[in-house]
Amino acid sequence: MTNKEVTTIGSLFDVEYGQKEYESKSFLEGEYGNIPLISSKGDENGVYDFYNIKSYYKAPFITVPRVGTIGQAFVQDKDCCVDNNCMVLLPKKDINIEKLYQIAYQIRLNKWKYKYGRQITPKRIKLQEIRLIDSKIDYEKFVKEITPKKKAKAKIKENKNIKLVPVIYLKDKQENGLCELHKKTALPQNQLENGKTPYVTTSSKNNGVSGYYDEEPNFKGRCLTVALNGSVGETFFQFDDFITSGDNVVLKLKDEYNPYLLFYISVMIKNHQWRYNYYRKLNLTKLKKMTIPVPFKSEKELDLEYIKNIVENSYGFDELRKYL
Amino acid sequence: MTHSSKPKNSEVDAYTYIKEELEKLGWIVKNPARVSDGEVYKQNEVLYHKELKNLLGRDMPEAVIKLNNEEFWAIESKRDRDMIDQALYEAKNQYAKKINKSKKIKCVLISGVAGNDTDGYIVKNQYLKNGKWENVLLEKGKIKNILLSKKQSQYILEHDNPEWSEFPDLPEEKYIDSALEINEILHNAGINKNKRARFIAGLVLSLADNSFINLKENDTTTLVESVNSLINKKLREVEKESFFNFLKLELPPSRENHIKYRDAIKETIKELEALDIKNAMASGKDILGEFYEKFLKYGNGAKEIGIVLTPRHITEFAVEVLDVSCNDYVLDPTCGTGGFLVSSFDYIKKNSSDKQIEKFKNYNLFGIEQDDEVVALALVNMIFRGDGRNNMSEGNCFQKNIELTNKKGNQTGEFVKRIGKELAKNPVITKVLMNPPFALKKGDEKERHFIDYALSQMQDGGILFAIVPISVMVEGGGGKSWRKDLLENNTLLSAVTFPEDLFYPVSVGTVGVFIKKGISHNFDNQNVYFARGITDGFRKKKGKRITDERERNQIEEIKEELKSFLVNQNLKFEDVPEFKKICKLDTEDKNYELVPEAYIDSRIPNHEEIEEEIEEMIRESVAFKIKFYNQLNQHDK
Repeated sequence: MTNKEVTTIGSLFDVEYGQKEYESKSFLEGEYGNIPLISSKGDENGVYDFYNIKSYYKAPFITVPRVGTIGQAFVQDKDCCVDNNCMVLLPKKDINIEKLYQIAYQIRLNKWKYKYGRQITPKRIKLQEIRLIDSKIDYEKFVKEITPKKKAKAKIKENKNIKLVPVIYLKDKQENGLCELHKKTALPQNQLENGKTPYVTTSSKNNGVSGYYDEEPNFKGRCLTVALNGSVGETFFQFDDFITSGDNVVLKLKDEYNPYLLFYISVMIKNHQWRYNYYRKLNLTKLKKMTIPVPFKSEKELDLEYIKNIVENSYGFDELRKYL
Repeated sequence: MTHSSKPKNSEVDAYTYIKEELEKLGWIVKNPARVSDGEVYKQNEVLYHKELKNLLGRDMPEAVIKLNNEEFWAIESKRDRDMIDQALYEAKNQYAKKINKSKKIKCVLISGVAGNDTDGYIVKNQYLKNGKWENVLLEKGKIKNILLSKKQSQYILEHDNPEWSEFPDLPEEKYIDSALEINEILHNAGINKNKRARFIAGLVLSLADNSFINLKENDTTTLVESVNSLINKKLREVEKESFFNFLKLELPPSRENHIKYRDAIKETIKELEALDIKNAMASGKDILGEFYEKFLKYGNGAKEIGIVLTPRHITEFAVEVLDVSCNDYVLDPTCGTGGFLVSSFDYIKKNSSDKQIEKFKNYNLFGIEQDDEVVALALVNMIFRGDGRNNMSEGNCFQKNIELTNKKGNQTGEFVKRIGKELAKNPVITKVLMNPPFALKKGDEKERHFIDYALSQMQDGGILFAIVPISVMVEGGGGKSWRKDLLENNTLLSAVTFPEDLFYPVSVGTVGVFIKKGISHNFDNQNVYFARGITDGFRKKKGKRITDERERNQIEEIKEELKSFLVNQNLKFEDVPEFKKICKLDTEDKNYELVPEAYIDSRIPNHEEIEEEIEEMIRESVAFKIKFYNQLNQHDK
């Protein structure tokens, strides 16, 4: 069977190992800058960190980790450096970026073939067949569409009238507390069918959402979740209705709903994370004792205007507006 | 063994040895003419250096090391150990002399290396000061028997009168390498994992005697016997013959394994010599302890044999903070290889007279260790420190009390049988330093029981330092009521969080606590020093944890403060959010959580930080929204 669409990686790319000089990164410490160094990470496009170094490879091209998350190919669309934990696939001729994505995707499909015992090597990867199709997706247009617009930052006058306020409102004890505290149980994820309702766990990734299930939400969205276990103290603003178990508490404002204030509170709670760890978890008693710094307008009145200004000034916030 | 007739070939062993040693000692063994940070010209590579080429002509030493642009170090080698003086002589008169005719460059260090892979190597180093060549010594006038590390050579260059007691240690990597190397040798010889540590201890002890061990001996039985007789002799000298059974080498029952065993003995001795362990005994440094630590950590899989040694910098920290004096009676009820005891002894050595030191080592140090293998290591370690007649006891601490007694007119303690949880009737111990084994499974003795035991042996007012997993200080149930009792009968002076990687490669969160025995904790008045010492100047590099001057060291930062605080708890020091704080215990806390994380202040972010952190959060939210666009489209309907 011959098929024009099918070709091999070897015919499209020169394949080599990345730069040996970045095998040890200790000498780069403190040299942070804006050139990405790609390593064998399986997420964040393989970026290990950003350094003040000279970029070596010209974009666009593909990186494929040979250790770590073996075979997790990424398309690099910015000139950068790559360490020798990765293979670098450099196009022999111009290949448009849409096609590079198609190729990276198909390399990932073959991950199962490789492990520590059976290394992924330039020789082996060159033999891999791939199918290229004519895609309707226009990379540049797509990126433009989904990335928030840049805007100039407003200068905000600092409010130095900061007071420590309890996070939790307790009727008889902490009148000035900010949030009501809720905690519910839920069925564990492995007993649920896949569906559309986000399930918030104690993960620190993806807003705490670790799956979507066919089950009624047990909380309404537009509130905060705080992890008591796992990534203890991890706090997220939940947009949609969701399910969560007793490993998270849910915080809603005692006074009227104010997304800006919630974002602010979540950042301040996260600042307490160093107090907690695997051995010393967060619990309701400790949460009730927690105080956070909050700006005030007058003796009793929170400076909500100031908080709103800061939140609105953040890059990308306009994208979120419609979800608030 | 055949001697090669070609002179060049005969030096190949030494050439490889020198190259590998230099590498382990922190030198960049690359041709400086080719690689910009290279430091070693090997054999004819000196031809790349114009001036050296002119001076040396065709006469080339084994290696020339570039110390800086003007100063060099020449190394010459010979094949037989007997020819060490010849090697040094040639380095001096054949090479250094020629180089020093130059007006531009100088040869300021020379070394002779003699030996081969079969017999092992010896080394002599000399340095040039005021036109004279002087020996590179260790403390007490012993000649250093290995090549110099980078730091050591720098030290010599920078000091007109080198003070050998301040001579820099070997790099940690060197110990780690040797530990891995020896472990490999023992593995290949089929020596069981939990016998390896004592095998080394026995050999090390035999080296302590200055008798010569004939490495050319081919009969395994004779070799083992001669090593054993040296071990026995050394133990007799310090009246510890009872330990012979823990330390002697044991011939493998099957004759077929004798050759392997013999080779393991030889190889290991050679490795130990390469660490200069024999001379190290005379130096003021705990080189053997350092080696044990690395061996048990990286070589032997600490987890498998259940020994986790307290790192040196922590034993030293604790001893300094407690300011152990020569009048203290020090106990470590789970002493392992004796790290805390060695550090205590070293600390005393710095601050006391010879008479005080003599009394302290004979009457004031007490260690108990359950594992026979390990207690033998502790003993060997102490023998090297010049303390043989110490009070080291093997067995279960819970069955021993230490009672006040008098020996030769000196107040001391003796081990007597303990019944149940009986307290010592006449306790003698004033300071305890301990790192009890961490309970990994149900049924393991709980860490807190070791603390209770140690307290039961102490005089009122004595101070105990213990490293325990965080859970011991925060867990509910039995742990909670134990802490309540602890505070009813004793005073908490300080709690310090240690780095999670302290016991690397085992990862476990620990706290160090300082407790004053016998006085009920006064919640109204008693100040407690809390600190998070979560950095200790170490970094992880290629699966090993080694010191790095660039890393922050919070443990060092608090040391002086804490030392003064233990003496006077009304002293004031600056509270630093997320780092340290002096305060009273919270009477409201029904959990009795005694950890820094419960007491130290949070940091209040400034305007810029708030802006930054919020933006970070928003970006994450936007990314989440983009990534899960398809799943989350319910709002768009």
